[in-house]
Amino acid sequence: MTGRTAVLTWTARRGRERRRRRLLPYALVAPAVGLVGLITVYPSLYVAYTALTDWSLQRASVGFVGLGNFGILVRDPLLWRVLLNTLGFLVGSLAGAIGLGLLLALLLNRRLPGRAVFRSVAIVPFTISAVVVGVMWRWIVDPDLGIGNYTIALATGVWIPFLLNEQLALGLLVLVEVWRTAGYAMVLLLAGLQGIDPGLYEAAAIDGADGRRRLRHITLPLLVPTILVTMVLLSIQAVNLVDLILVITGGGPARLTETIGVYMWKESFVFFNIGYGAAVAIVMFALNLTLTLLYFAVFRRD
Amino acid sequence: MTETKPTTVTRRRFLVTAAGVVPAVTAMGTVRPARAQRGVTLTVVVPEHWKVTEGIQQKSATTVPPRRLWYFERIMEWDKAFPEIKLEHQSVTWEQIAPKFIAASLAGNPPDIITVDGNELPALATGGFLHPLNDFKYDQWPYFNKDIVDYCTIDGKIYAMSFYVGLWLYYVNQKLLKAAGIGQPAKTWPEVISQAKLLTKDTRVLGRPDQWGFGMTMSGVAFQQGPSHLAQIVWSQGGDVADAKGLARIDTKEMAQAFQLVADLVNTHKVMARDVLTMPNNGMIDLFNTERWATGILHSSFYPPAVQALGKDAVGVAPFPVFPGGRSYGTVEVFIASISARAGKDPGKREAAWELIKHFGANETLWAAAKHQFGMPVRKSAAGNAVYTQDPMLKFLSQYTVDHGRPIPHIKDVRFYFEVLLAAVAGAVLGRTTIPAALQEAQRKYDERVKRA
Repeated sequence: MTGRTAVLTWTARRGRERRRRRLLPYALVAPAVGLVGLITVYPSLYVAYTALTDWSLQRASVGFVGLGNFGILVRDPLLWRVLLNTLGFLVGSLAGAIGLGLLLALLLNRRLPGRAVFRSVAIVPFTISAVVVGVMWRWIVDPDLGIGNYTIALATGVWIPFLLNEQLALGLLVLVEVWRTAGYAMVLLLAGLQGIDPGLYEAAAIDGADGRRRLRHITLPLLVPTILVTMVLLSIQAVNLVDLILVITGGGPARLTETIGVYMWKESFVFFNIGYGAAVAIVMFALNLTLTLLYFAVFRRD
Repeated sequence: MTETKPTTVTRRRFLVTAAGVVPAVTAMGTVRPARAQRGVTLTVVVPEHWKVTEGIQQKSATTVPPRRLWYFERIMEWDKAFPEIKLEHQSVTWEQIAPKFIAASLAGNPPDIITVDGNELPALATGGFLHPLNDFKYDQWPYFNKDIVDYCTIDGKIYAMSFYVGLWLYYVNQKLLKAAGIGQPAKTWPEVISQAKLLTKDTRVLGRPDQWGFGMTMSGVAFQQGPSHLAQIVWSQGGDVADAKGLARIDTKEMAQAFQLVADLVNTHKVMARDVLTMPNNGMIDLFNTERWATGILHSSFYPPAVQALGKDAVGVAPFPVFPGGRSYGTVEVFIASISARAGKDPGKREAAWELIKHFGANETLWAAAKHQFGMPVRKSAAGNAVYTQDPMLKFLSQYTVDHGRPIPHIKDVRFYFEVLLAAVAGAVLGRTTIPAALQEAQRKYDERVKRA
């Protein structure tokens, strides 16, 4: 082998080695990317395609209707009612869950007796199936057989028609969702609180900052990323929620407590309009995306 | 002696081997063992309680709810008669069974047999998800009630075998009636109202009756129950809920009268709880059994649990009330069994599936359903059988079914019709809108939906 050939061989081998090194990371992530593509990207694209069709489970044929479903959707007065309900439910449940979760996290971040037990108990509602939670609360507020309504009536002499008035019914749904998710928010926020350097509090105490100031100037600013994550997760969950609402109110009375998740579910799986339901799902996705971007924009500005 | 050279497992060699092994293993999975080829296994999806499925799997009736024992018994009999045809049961809720069956059909893997409420039949048949039963030789069709066979016929083909029916009737708590000095259960709506006024009581003095004189669900959660009762009221006036093309007739004077009656019972006479608009599915049995309802509209299959809770002497059943001069009708719920289109085309399964369908449609199913669930006859001759004639209540119910039973006709987009009708009645009863406006709006929404479809 001449010197020139040896150099060429070495160069070629080095090139192959480089190429292999360059490709190795892609090869390693390829299975994960493939899996995500298969179970997330492909179904999402399929939903987007379905939204452009008139697919109904009651018909054998499927036709392409372009943006027709969206045209019908924006003309449906129920959509606007549903969006309003969704926003009301979202704001109420988010404010309640994060407020209560933060309060619980601050309390349980202190050295209190039985702290571990309280932390576990607080998360229990979130570990129960939403359907079970719904059935439980449905029975509590049942006007004839429920203990909640009976107790209120004994104490005040007033029967509250929780399920007959849409404001009360939506209020009840918010209450149940806050009860269910506050513990989850607490766990996330507690993790955030424990990540704050205790030295900052000691320095602030030396500088004479009281508890309120420490909360305002140290705890909350440093907790912003955790609050943001909590908000995004709970917000998506609230917008997509179906089971809890279906069990407690069924969207009634007179479809007045339907949220966009329930509306999508009914169109797709009760009335069998898969194409139209997919269009509603796209609106849900847009709503979730807008809200997430909004949270990021607001928190980035602050 | 030859030297054995150790084999180096390179990545290339590993990938090449894996590429060969994976398809081979996959192919092996598609080869059925010889034993499975000899027998047939049918998958059956039922809207029965999951405990029924559990009981069947364990061959033990201990966990099966008493009302559902008829199904358990029939399947046990099947197992004895056809040991070579195994059944695999799947339980799905009433509301979800049709969508899930359709979804499974579209995915190419439907259950072989579906048992379901007859309201779902048009969607399943016109979508091409079922196999017509006319394909099989059967000399028993003339023995069935004609209206039931007609009900199971879509576009000229019979797609389902009905195995029993149930209907909605007027239940009274005889003990409470006697305590209020009432002799006979009401027959007309004015009588219902006057009796209900005597029976409505606030014994706890909490500002809300704990005993309502009358109850009839109109709940959006209960889905088809409210529309069934509205149909009964409409029919009793000589009207109908659909035209000959299967399009719903909502904005009619008979439906307006039905809405008015519901609103009056709640708002004017205050003998029926407003909560009938939101009560849970089948909640009426709990309310009747706990004496929260003194009288009310309940399903025939609720008779055994009501007797169990209140005693035989306390439970009275009467025809569905009417306006003076009207004819009483009981809305019949038709329970059916069908063969999936896929099983119907599968030579290994179609005959077995047909055997099971015939087993469901046999008289023995009626006897079992009558015994445990007060299931009513679908065969002309059955009402005269000793099973029905020996028990006075079964005799009355079976005769009433034959003479006054009527299924809700097949209505296009029936699920949307139910929803829009219940939303309209809720709006009218809660005073959100007037009855004419509610009916007009509901009809407009329904027409628009059907036109779009």
